[in-house]
Amino acid sequence: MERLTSHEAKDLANQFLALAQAIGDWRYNHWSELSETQRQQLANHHRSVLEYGEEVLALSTVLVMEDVSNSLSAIKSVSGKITASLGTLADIQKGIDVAAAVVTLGAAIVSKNPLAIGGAIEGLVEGWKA
Amino acid sequence: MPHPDLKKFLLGILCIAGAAGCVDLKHVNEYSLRATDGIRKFDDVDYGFARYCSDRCEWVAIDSFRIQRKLDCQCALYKRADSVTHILYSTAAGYFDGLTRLSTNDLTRYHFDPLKKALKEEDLDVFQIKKEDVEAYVKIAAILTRSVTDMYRKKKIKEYVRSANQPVQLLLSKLEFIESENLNGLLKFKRERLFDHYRNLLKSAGMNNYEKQLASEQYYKTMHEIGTMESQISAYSRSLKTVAKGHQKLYDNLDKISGADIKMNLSRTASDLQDLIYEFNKLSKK
Repeated sequence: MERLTSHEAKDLANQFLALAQAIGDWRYNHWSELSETQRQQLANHHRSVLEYGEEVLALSTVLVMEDVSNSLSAIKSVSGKITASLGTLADIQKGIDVAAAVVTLGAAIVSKNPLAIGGAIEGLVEGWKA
Repeated sequence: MPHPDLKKFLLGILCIAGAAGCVDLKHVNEYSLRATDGIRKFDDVDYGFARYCSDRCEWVAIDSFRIQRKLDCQCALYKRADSVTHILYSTAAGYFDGLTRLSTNDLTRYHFDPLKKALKEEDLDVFQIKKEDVEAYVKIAAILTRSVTDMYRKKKIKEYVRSANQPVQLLLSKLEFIESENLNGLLKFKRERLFDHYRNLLKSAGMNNYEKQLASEQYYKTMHEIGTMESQISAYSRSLKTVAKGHQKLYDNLDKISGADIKMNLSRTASDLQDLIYEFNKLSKK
């Protein structure tokens, strides 16, 4: 069973479903010819076959894990790198933001306004801390 | 007239920004945002393997007139199936979430307002900077920030999409397979269980016609609920396929990431995803 692929398992489940439907139909169509015990037996068989099919579908899902284990690691690695880049991006942006603020501050200095310079520095420090 | 040094400075900044070039990643962001929304609809699919197992366990108990204080349901395999599905889902969602954040054009982390305030109009007499110059500073600071970060983001997006495409395709196709084949497959089993139960009930029990009608009504009502669930899972599966197709298009056009073709393609994909999300939400309200 463990050698099945997820697709083979799914196909197998469909076979079980078709089989269960056949058992159920047969029981229904021969209702009057069957004893109560026979009907019960067939009902149990019907239920068991359905259960096998359902188990196989769940198993097919578990088997997917084997198909994707390499891909999962690859994507996790890429996602980790993205997160790291986002951290770097935040730093870069902050650096540039601050640089732009410094340049604006330079313009204030050119204009010789100590009040504006003080305010711009304050804003710059706040921006850096943010 | 702006200060001569200021003019030189503005010109310099514009040259740098122009050379860096502004990269439009809006379409990538729009697509990845919709892709994330689509994938995250997983949380709204009100069904799973373990739930199927416990429902079945309860159904079998009802069918055989068994009353227990606590049902002993053997659902370990189904719980494992849910875990696998969840791992696939969260990995895919995590990747697209990262792509969305990386492609966003949001410059809200730094506000230029404090600078604007520092250079407010009432200071202009002493300050010798005109209001329009202040606005220009602020605008240029934003352009400069954006041009450099855009280039960085573009480079990183290309790098990540290139290395992630193959595993993303596999992962999405497997998740789609689980949903459309296995989970939907379980619902076919549920249909068969109900069908067999009701037809035998009508045949065997000493019911009057009214009771038979009630049982039939109950049967069709449950079938309708299963149908809604199937449609919901189908809409989710189609959105996974659309996400995968969009990622493939992005991968195929990495060298022309800001080109008109890929912009149009990704916008169409984002719009298709929005339609599917709408369809999904509509089914959820049923």
